[in-house]
Amino acid sequence: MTPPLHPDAEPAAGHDPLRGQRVLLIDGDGAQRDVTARTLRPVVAGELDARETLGDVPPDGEYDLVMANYDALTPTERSALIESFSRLQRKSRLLLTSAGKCKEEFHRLFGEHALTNLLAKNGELDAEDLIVTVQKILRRDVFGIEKYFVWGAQTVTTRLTHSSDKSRLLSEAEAYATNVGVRPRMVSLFCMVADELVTNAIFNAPRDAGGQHRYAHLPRGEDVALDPGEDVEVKFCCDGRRLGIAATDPFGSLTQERLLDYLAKCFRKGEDQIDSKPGGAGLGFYYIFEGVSHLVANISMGKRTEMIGLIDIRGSYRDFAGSTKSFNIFMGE
Amino acid sequence: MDGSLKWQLTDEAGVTRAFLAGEITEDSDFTTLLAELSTQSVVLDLSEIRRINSCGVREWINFVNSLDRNATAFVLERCSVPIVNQLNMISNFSGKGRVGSIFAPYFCPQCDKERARLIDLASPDVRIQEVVPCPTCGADMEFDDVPDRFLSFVAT
Repeated sequence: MTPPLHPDAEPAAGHDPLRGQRVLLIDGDGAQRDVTARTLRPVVAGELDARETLGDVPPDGEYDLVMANYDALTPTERSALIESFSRLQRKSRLLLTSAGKCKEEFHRLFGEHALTNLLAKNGELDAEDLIVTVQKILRRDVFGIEKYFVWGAQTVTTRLTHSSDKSRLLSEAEAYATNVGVRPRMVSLFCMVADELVTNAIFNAPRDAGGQHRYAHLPRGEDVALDPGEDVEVKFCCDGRRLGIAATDPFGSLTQERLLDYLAKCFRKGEDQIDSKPGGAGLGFYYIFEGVSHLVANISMGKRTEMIGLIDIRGSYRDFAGSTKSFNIFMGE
Repeated sequence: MDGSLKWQLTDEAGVTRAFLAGEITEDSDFTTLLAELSTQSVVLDLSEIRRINSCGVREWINFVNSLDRNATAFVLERCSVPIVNQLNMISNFSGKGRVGSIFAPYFCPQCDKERARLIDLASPDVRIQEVVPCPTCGADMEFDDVPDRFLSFVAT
């Protein structure tokens, strides 16, 4: 068997970077386990082990990816997994699936840094999202909103160089979503997500040469002009199933820890839910999360961050509001 | 279109009614409104608040905390759907104020329009009616959110 490829190694010509990768699938729902395994076997060129129960948590590194149906785990199994995966610098990645039971535990799952990858099961587990997610985790080819839309869906790109561009961006987002034909409440949701994404990209992302925040301390109504080459790129996309927006900054300063800690703080709804420090209120990621069906953070440390919000527009607003959400952080090259 | 926060005040029998309209964002400054609220009993009519972002929420929280500090008794009335979303997402969004009434979202498939229906929270049996007649065409309108989720702030 070909030894596992180190994530930083250059693949040899013709070499499949997934060959040798090992995936463990744990699902107490036998029928779902079979469907998931059938979906993943052609994708995972290495080994795919499927189990009904967790058993002993595998040592870090034994598998490149551990995928578990959160809802089918016993409370003991959940605690064991959370405890084992609460350290972010692991070789193994944990991907959870859930039809909603994890919602009650978000503050804990985010707070203990155990929840970096979650795929929602609203009825069926979306096979395309499953394949994209597993491929991104194993290949570390993470960037691009296009991965989440059917082939041929067109993206519309716009750029922001100044904080005052936000009002133009919001008008463009409103026009885009309205032209697609979604209902006004969905349009408002899309605009809210756009607002928070670009505010974060303009004020929180930029760093100076010493790695310090440049604008995060400023009131969000303050004028900020980004330097040449520091544009925020925003993309819109829609394929009739979902409406999406991606905001990319060229700093890559967002860390997994920061994102997870902010989400945990907001879901805890304690007295510290709103930041009193100068600058932002610390609610942006929470608002984005609540405003989408699937939040994706693609991060290449020190190089770029791409935040993607995807809204399922196939049903009513009620369908959206009642659905479980997906959440994924991917660390790229 | 200018969505900046605007308000109008009326005084009736010692109660100030403040009609707020527009957006609550990082550009919203409640200082002037706070200074203009001259009575100790205030009704905040929020029916025309169309949008509120995360920065605006902090401005709002500072505003209601100031009302608390000024010993101003206040009620949030006719809360628009965006305001109800904040009530559910943000702990202490209403400060020490009482939430008197909210607008619930409905959708009429016949008219293909979203509509909002006022719900009085003072009623002993506050519940969302899943289906109500459209005020325009009479067809059945469906509640366009998840009832328990939409009223979760009432339970807390």
